Amino acid sequence: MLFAMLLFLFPVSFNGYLESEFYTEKEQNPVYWNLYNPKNYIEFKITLHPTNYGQVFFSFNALSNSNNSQFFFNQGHIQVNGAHHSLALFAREDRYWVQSPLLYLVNQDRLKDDNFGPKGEGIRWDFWDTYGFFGTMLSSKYKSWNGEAYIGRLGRNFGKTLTLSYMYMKKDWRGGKEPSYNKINSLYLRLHIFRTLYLSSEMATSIHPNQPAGDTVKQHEKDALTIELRRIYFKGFNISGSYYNYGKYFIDEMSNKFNPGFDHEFGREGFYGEILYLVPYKAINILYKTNRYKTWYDYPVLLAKPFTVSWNYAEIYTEFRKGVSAKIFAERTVDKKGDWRHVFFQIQGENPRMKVKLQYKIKDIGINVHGKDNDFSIGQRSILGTEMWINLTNWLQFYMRGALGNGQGLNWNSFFAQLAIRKFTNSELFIEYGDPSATDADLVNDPDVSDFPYQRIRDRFKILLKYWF
Amino acid sequence: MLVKALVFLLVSLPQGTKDGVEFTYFAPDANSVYLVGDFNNWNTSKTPMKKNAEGLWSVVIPLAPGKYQYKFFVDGKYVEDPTNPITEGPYRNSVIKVAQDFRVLPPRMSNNTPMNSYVTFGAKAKGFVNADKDSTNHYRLMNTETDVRMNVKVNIKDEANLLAILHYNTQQGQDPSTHQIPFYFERARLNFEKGHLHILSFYNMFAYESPDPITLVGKVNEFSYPLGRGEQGILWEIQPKVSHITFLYSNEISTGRDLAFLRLSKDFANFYAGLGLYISHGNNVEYQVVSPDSERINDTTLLHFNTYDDRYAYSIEFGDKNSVRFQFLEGLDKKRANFYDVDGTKSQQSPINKSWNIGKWYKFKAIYGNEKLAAFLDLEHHKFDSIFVPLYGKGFSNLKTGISIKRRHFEAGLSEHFLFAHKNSTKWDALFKMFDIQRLPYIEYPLLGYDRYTTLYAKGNVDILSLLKMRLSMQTARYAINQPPRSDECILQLTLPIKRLFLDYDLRYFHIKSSYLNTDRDFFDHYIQISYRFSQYMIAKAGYGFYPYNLLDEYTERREYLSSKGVNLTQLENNFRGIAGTIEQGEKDISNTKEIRLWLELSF
Repeated sequence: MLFAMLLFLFPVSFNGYLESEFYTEKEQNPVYWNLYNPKNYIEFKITLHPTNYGQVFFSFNALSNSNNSQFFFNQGHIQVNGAHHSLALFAREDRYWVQSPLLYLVNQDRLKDDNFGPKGEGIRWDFWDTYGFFGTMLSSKYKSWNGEAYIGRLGRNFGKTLTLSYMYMKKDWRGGKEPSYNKINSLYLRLHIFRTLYLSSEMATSIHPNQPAGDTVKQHEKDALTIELRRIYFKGFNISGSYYNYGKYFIDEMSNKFNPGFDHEFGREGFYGEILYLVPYKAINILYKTNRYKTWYDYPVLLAKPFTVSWNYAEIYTEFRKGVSAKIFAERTVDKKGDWRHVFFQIQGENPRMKVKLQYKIKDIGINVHGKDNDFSIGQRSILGTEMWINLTNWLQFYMRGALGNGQGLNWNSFFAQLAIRKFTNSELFIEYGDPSATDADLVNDPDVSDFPYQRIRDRFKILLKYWF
Repeated sequence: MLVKALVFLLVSLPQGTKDGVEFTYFAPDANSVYLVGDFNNWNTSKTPMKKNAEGLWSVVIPLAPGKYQYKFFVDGKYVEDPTNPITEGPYRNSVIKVAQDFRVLPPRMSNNTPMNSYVTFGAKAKGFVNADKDSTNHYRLMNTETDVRMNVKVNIKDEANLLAILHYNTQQGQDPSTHQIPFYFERARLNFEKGHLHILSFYNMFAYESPDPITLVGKVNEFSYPLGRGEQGILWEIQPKVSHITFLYSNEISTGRDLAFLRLSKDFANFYAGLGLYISHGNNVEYQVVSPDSERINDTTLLHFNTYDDRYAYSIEFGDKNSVRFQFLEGLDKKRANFYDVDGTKSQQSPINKSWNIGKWYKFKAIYGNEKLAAFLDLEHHKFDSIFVPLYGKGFSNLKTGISIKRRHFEAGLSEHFLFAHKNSTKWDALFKMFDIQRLPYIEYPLLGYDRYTTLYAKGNVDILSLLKMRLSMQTARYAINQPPRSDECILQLTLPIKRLFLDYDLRYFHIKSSYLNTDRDFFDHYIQISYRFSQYMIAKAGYGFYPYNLLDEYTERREYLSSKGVNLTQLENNFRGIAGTIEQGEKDISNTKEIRLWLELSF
């Protein structure tokens, strides 16, 4: 009886998130401490489960120092889940992930209609394990301009030996009154050869209104291909390699990789290789990676003759006793602009009470050391960085990271410290000093501190409260 | 261990026995368990429970019928009943209801927020994906839309409750510059009822419709809803014994019009008497609309008019409570609708209206009125439906002369309606009028804008087997004598029937629905829809064709919809007077519309 009644209980969960931020910063000129507008942000999330396999979610938010402090729709979906399929109508959500493991033909940012949060609205249907078939259908209508995108993918697993899939994608990339579509057809194949050895290949062809018309363009210049052999395992060696050939006019507006506005990697042909050696009976890994290709583009200029780019990377990673580990790598890139060499050292120690990390990197070795010989770099520089976590009590944590850079007669620095208080349920309180943004991408490897020699410690105090309910 | 697990399965909600209600709690390792609740004033030592060999604690206590909160007091700690999902209050006390003979009623959840029993959330969520042919004749995603209306109900004790509705729509609400979609506060209501007193405070939500025969406030027509929609205000009702006192103050949100209404009525042995007072003061509102006969002069002719709306009236009503009522009304209507043509000529309307309805087997209603004076007589036969065609427009003064005869046969689901209305006054009021919209889903539009017309129609439902339901709605004949505004010319119009055919197949979870609209020529408007009901809360639908909006609810959307399909807006406005005209124009544009429509709907 009880269970019968439970079926009629309609579960609704109502959650939310609150954030308050106050900060003051010492300004350069005139010198005074400026208290910025306190920021208060609130978000409500509502999840409904009208059936065992249906879900409705929507959230709305308000930000105090934005326009009107009004509540706005944040994101939402209505979804039906089955054992082997799911159907969702969604608005303003990141639901554009589609598998393209070698060519990376789909990037969510190029489909969601905005870099700073999705604005598209659409429908997505996925199915899997249906007589060996799997697939995805996706349509999205952009809301900030008159564009849209469609993706269809159908594949089949033939046991564990072979996987085949076909994908068709279409995007109105211009958003004019009349649609202007970039269309991609692609085929993916994955073959299990022996133990850990797989052969994979992904090939695609593109149709884009900006491609030159007529017979001047050959079909292979509109195609892209990657063939990969993955993990040949031999006496502690793991070897993988791939060959790729991207046509000069292979444009894919749905990706970053082949998008003229982003990474524009079309017009390349080359080889990528990777060897990983696990030293027997020692916690030592040795990794070597290489990438060599010829490219027809000195972007955006299409060259008459291609030039070659090579990239080599070697790394040794060692773990010692008592939580201490070390990493060393050397990296070299040779391209039209120069010969770029970097070395990196890291040592790290960790125990339940604290964790410390020390990094040192020398970047662009030999560049501009004896006078200005390269315009594309500031020259050789070294950056020393450290990062530290200390658990003062079980609810109080101290964290800091900082970096010092010097080179070419310049010195620069960055520092950030934080006291985190997690005393109260569902809440976090942070007291912070400094600017975290310069070193937030792996400390000394962050371009903000490794490539920008005018980085300075910012006198900034911030109190940040986060509360979940 | 196995025995313990089996015992745990036997643990259930409190159950009725012949000696009382039995409470059980499974805790083999506990040293002491007491039952506490409002039946023993939460005394932690009064009702000890006994443990059996398997570790199941139980006690039987006699309880009178009613609702009780309880908990278990286990080794000095309060524990809620793990078998009972229903809790109340900030301490999450378990709740049971006990009926006669110690029967325990199954638990019912009165709200869906376990943290707080006074708050209930509800929502109506819809997601649409439409694909339609574009100018290159290819299917393309058109107007995707997500629409959510969320309501929050708060029960403040038993007497008062609060309801608030929030709304967003990704299709309509988006800010063109920031692309943000605001969450609107759409409607709210605070209701208080205790004894003879009822207080209702409302914001953009239905509040009141006066029961007096002329319906001094709260009339329905196409663009004005029952009083409360688009308004904010407060209503007081006091009903000591057989008297009834109503006071209403309301402010129209968009125009700022203020309205005050007072009605006193008293029931005597066989009759009742009432007094009414109505005062309203409205802001001057300017309108700009397309002239109804502009197509014959100039397609873009706009007609401007402004109105102001000061009214005052008092009324006396008396009559038999059920069948015969009479109302006398005297008032002053300062409403002026000043019309301006493009050349600036001004014309003013002064309405004088008369209206008679006769019925025997049928409903009988008579109305007589002019600008200052109105009388209403209402005779009803109890066997028949009491829906009265609103012969008059917004406000008490725009009355018409007319006869309305209506017969409805409930068993067969058939109804016939004969209507004759004469109006020689404000044309514009007639233009924006709906006639018995529930009965006439489509063909009211031919009537709009006509001053004199007669229409006959029939409508039938046929059930073939239990699966297939067929509905046929047909206008059998119509003629209209049209006297357009600002013209002495009359047109006699006779059109052939417009037929609408619905076919429904009900297959338990699946429902197939199709509709066809037949005009003078071919079936032009057809639509097929398959819906699947996942549960009582959730439905998925897929449709193909020209989606027919429900005119009753979504008239304005229909206009936008037709316009989105390429029908010229001016043409649409001109064709308010007749869907035949709309069809003629629309047919060209819509004949290619083969929309694929997919949506999910949820409400609870």
